[in-house]
Amino acid sequence: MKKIYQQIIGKCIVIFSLLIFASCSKFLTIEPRGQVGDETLWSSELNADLFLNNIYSGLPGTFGTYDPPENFSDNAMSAHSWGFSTTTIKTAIYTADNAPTQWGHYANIRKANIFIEKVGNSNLDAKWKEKRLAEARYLRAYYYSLLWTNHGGIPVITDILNLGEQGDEVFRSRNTAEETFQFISTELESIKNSLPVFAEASRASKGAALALKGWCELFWASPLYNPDNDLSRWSNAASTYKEIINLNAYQLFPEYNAQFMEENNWNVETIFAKAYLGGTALGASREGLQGTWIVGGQQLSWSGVDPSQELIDEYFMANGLAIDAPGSGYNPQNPYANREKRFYESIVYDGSVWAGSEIIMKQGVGSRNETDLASKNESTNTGYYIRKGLDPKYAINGPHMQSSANYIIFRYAEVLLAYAEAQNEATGPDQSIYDAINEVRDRVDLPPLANGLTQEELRKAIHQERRVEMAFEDKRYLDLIRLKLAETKLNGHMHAMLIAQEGGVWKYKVIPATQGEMVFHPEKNYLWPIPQSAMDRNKNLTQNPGY
Amino acid sequence: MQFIAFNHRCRGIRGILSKTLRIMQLTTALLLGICLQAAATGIAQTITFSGKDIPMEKVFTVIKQQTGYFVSYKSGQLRKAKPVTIQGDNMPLEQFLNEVFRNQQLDYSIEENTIFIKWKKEIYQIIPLESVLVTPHPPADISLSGRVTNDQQEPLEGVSVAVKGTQNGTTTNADGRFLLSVPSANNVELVFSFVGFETHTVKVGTQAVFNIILKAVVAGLDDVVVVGYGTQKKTSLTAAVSTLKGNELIAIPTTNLSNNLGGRVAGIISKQGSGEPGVDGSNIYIRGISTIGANQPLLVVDGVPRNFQNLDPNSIESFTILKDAAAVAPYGVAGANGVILVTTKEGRKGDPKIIYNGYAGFQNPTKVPDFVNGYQYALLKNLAAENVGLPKPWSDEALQKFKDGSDPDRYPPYYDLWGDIMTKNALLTTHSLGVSGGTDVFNYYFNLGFQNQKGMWPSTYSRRYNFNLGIDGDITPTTNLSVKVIGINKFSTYPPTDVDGSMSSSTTRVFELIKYAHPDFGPLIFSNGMYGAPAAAAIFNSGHRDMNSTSVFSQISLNQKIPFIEGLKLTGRIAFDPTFGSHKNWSIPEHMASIDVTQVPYVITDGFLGKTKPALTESRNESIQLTYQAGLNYENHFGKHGINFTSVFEAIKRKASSLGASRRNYSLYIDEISMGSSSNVDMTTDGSSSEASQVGVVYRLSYDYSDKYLLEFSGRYDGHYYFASGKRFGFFPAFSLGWRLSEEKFIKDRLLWLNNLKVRASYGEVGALAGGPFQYLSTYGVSGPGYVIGGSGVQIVYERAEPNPNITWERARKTDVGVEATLWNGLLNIEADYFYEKRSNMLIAPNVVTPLEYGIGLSQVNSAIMENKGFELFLSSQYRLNKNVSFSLSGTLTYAKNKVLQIYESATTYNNANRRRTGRPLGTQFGYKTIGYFQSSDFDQGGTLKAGIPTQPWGKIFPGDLRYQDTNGDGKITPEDHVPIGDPSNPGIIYGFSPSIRYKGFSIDILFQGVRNTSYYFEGSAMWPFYNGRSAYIQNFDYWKPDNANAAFPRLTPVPNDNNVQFSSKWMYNVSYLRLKSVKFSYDFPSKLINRVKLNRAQIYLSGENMLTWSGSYVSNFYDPESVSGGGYNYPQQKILSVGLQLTF
Repeated sequence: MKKIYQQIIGKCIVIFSLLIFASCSKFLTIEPRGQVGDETLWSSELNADLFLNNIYSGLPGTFGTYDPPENFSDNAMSAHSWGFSTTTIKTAIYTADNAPTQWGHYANIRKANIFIEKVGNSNLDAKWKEKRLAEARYLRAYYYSLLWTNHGGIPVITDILNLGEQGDEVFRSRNTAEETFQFISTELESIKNSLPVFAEASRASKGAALALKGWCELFWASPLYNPDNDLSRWSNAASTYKEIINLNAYQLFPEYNAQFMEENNWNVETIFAKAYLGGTALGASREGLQGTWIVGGQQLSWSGVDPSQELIDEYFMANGLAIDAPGSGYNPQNPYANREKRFYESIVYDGSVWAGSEIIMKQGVGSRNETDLASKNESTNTGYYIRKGLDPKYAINGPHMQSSANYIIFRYAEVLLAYAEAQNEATGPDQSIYDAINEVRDRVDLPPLANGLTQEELRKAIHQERRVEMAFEDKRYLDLIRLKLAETKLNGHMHAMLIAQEGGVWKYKVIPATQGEMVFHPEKNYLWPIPQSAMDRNKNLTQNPGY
Repeated sequence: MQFIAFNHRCRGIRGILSKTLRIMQLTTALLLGICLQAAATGIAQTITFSGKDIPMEKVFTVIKQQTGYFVSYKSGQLRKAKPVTIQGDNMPLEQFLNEVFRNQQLDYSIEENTIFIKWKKEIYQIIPLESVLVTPHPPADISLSGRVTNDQQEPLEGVSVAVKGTQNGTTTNADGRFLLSVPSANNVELVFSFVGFETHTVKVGTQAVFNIILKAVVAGLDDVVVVGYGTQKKTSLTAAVSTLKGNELIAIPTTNLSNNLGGRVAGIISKQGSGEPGVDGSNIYIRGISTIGANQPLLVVDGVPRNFQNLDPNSIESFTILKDAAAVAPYGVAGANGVILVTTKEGRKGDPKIIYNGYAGFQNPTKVPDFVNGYQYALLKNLAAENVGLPKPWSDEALQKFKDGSDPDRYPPYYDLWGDIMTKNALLTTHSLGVSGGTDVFNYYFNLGFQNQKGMWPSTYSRRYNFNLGIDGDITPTTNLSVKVIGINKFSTYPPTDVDGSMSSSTTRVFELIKYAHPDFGPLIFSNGMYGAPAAAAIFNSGHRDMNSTSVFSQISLNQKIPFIEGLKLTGRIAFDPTFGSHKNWSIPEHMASIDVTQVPYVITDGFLGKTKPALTESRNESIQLTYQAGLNYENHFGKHGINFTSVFEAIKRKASSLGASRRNYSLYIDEISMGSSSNVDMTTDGSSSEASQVGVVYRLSYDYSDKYLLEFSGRYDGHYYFASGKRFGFFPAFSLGWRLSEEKFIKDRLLWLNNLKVRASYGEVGALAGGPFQYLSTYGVSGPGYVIGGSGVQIVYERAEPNPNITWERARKTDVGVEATLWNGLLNIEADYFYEKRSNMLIAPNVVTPLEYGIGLSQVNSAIMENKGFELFLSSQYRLNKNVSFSLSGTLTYAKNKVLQIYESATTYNNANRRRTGRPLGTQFGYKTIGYFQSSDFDQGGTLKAGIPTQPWGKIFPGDLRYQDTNGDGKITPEDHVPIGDPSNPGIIYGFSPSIRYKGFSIDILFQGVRNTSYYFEGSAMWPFYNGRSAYIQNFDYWKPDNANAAFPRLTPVPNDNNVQFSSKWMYNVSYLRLKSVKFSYDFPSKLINRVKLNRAQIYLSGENMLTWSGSYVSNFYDPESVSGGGYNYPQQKILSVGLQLTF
């Protein structure tokens, strides 16, 4: 009995082993989860859409940072003494190793190139293809515009780079700034009619294509690239903006600040935006990162964006005059009285209420809101916080990601102001310019501009209007660049408002803000450097001058 | 004494029960009992005792007490003893005993002062055992007696004295004496055997008294070592293998088994990065780091790939560390980083043996940084402001209040930050209870373990339960079946992760927040009890993060001898290892009050730091690993030729899946997933699954010629799912040679002091997996939601890295040359190895071959190469001065140094000899070389740097700023000036030495452990006080001033200065250290004493871990030099002092 038993066990083991051997290769074949192949992906519109979603997901927004590019400009600074904008950008000590860069968008450009090629070669529905290919090309143009406006001419790549097939061909040289601009504007021109005027929320529309085209044309017409002031460039920009106005698809949202709130996402003024989804990892956290530090004794934010006195001074008086204009009624010892609506809607200042609490910027009252003269803490260094676009219900300290508010990339007010600027440069003052700028002023109850301004006076008025209207929308830095104003505006010192008692009276005194030093080297800082990591890997690239 | 082979099965189990009960009583009574027993010293030859129906055991106690005679009996004997009724008054002992045994089945005999209890003859006949049946009615007994000693005339207790070929036998008593009855002296041979001694056989003949001297075997020489898929005799090993007995670790207060190997075992380099309960395991690198890819060794428990770190140390029989190609080749594609084999305990034939081991320890951090107190903080802030001409943030009056603590809400003094947040002497308790034993055909082992480790604060702790069961039995004379089940449950809890995602790890966050505990955030706790500085709420009331995991290792192994082929056996094993984990993160709003000092009395208002409603994340994961092994083993000798062949087929399959959900905005503070907000944006779900498989055939053929010349071939043909079809299988061979010179006549006969001398060498190739699976596939990944379109989150599909269909494993070619020697009977043992490894095919993303504009990374390719070489040394010595005193000393040294031979390196660094990574050790740290501070003399009157001094690009320079070396002499500081400034962060040298001394029952065992050749980059707060608004260290007062030109820190500024925080040699520190890793004082109670309470062994011990650390490193003023990392946010290493008790019944 026992022997038989043993033999059975022995045989079982042998048979068992053989069985497993036989199925070894099958045993090792495992299908990965969460992955799809080319055949599946490009065979249905729904699937291919998921890839396009990924191209959209690369859109940059600044609602997840406490140190947005607005802080690179003279509009604001970070209350953080260690903020990158403060320590490195404003002091212009950045190098090719650590400068801000848009180079990462080549990843998004690659995605777009893949989509364009794969969908282009697919048998998917032709109408769907036309629209979606136009969206992908729009996004590609947008990413190129980010590279171009910051770095100058860059390699324009429209194919899918493949080392195995292309070899050294993958090392592209920089196109000139003009070639890059031409590529972007030609692309946008050729796709604009493939995009719907009224697109699904988040998707590119015809208006978005025109707004991007207009912006690039405006940039190209501006002094940075147009030293000889070729007026045709301005008129190109003007006519593109005019085309948007003529779409009659957009109008100003009735309330200036309310347009930025999540409940008004995709309102009539919004042309293109990066979307957020509160309560998920895709949510926005602007309030907790950029807003007022301490409210009612409670820290509600990291205080990332402190408006500068320079910006505050740009807000008009309620009577429509600049504060330094004769008869403006501006009282430096009562500076916040009788200012325009956008000031009250954009700025948290001494005595204003934020999140249900009065914010006190006065010195020496024992308030924890006092301005931060010695960089003691994270309270404002300027005496101001931002209000515009921030929703007090989301005033929760830190990156809470609760808000769904759009990060608006293009909106109609900018179209109107850009039109006014371009048209003024191209032709000098005309009624269409007044109409455009006054439409923007009218919304915030400012009286129309006085008629009969010279081209120069109108230019100044448009620039001031633009700076105020577009404050904290990350437009200012590139405006300073394209207008070649950076070397004056970004050299010197940013200012703060000190409110302290002198002889029993509260005195308002404009002082240099702590860490408000600004340095700009015109010979090199108009362009960001090509990142050193890119230089290291592509010998065909040439560095921007001065880096 | 007559030893009767009673019915083992029955006795074993009942014995366990009765002994278990007894343990419970005795454990508690032991210490008291010891004192009382010691007092009962009066010895008499008469007995006064009367009683009715007295249990025999009680009678024995009386005898012991009154006469001092020791009563020796087997526990089973008393079960059949009848109660005794007796009346004695100064009755002579012998008479008393006769009375006692009158109606018993038992008899007795007296030898010196020991009374041996034995069965009466009749019982002998009724026990139906084979050996008895062949001699149904033996003639009258012959008594044999004697004494067994060692070669120093010291008695040996517990020596087995057996009549050869029968089950008749006994063991020696404490004096080494034995008494044995044999039916006849004809052809009787007595076999004396004892662990650690050579077995001795004598013919009885006419001799009746035997004085036997047993010769000690040289320790370790006869050991059998567990190796890959089998066992081998230590002497015939040709591979580089180290071993460690599990028992060496049981009395050390260790919370993770991986933390006690470094320095103790040659060839292991380890680094413990954290002391946090539940997650304090060490990284282990066998022979250092040989790869840029995954560098951890393969861990194997009881022959199956499993993690050993959370096993109960008490349940470990041995560790084996497989180091060279010959040793690891059987693990094929998984073996290149070395293998650690852990074998758990099994039952052994014998009476039930019950072991209890437990200790209670007190934990305190080895080092925490000294933060400034409130006054010092304000003072330092003032000094910083003063230095740059800013107004002082704190008035003199405020400084005074910080100092005297008179206004603690407004001017919190922060006298003792750590004392306020940390539980001192956090408890660590461990209990383990094991039972083992067996009969001729059946062995069992059972162990229950429990460990409770408290943390530095109440919100952190970890508990672990261990369960081990091992049963093996011969189900037929040729078939052995063994079943092992190991269960581990671990529950750990920590402060929660912030659901907003701002902090990835809660503990990291707590340590970051501690740096924000300073006056600017108010006191830690306000006088009205509200939480102030954010660390308070985070530590004491922020919710909880619970990690629960249950792992089961279960296996059935079959071992079948093939009767008709001598030496051949078949083996089979199936292991089924399920693991279940759950993770629950309940994060509640953190309170942070603020003070309004404009009102008197102050108004302190509660508030929140961050969210205002709780959130919960919960996830479950499960995985199952199935391992099948089928093999054969053939072992035989043909004259002087010995052959051993093993082959095993192995298939492993793993499946894992996880499911999770989260909700936020809870109105009620009830941490149940369904109690949260049911709004769509407030909840998420996620899940994933994966599968893995591996199959291989292992072989090992060993040949020896008269135990002298050894030759071995081993290897594996292995396949793995990571790679493309057609690229999955590989062959990993190794061969090794050994020559036992000590077996050669010219040594064996002449150099008697040389007990063992062996030289060995091995060479082979093994594999290592790196990267991830499916890199050969051209597919797109799916994830999401990744963007918001139409107001909803949408999935995204993304391009994975370009596929590489040729991807395969790393190849490790290992060479090893070693020598092993034992001299003067173990006075000196030496084991030394030189190793060299060349690792090629290492996976590296060839990104530098594409431009950054390429837009995506490339799949990894098998093209990096590095080498790793070094040596290791193990020395040990045992010396016995006399019967009472012995010493031992052992030392290990492991040195490993690697070198990158080929990687993708950008031209920028490659073309600069100072910056080139190729040709340097992996992980070499590069940066600017600091050449001191700028001094006032470097500036002209206007405060500008004098001409000729290289310019530094980080803003305006002042005296007291760091000055960097212009390596290339181009007059400006740029990254081109980088040079190597630090060693890799893992040690290049680790050493240990462990002396121990025994005196009678006392012993001291010590392990010193040290490392060298490693650097730490001290970032963040260290470089600049008030970094990111944090507090400062006491050391920050030592900053540059004109009269403190060689200060530890640069000039003090209220805001950071880019110039002074560059990655430079200034902040790079060597972190060599030597520490008293473990120390143990123990006392074994004398057997005479404890035998009275039925104990075989009782030991109390005082044991310490990380008790002292010596480090010349500046970093050790702030952190533990072993566990420091990053910005110092890690949970510090713990110093543990414990008291323990170990009892064996």
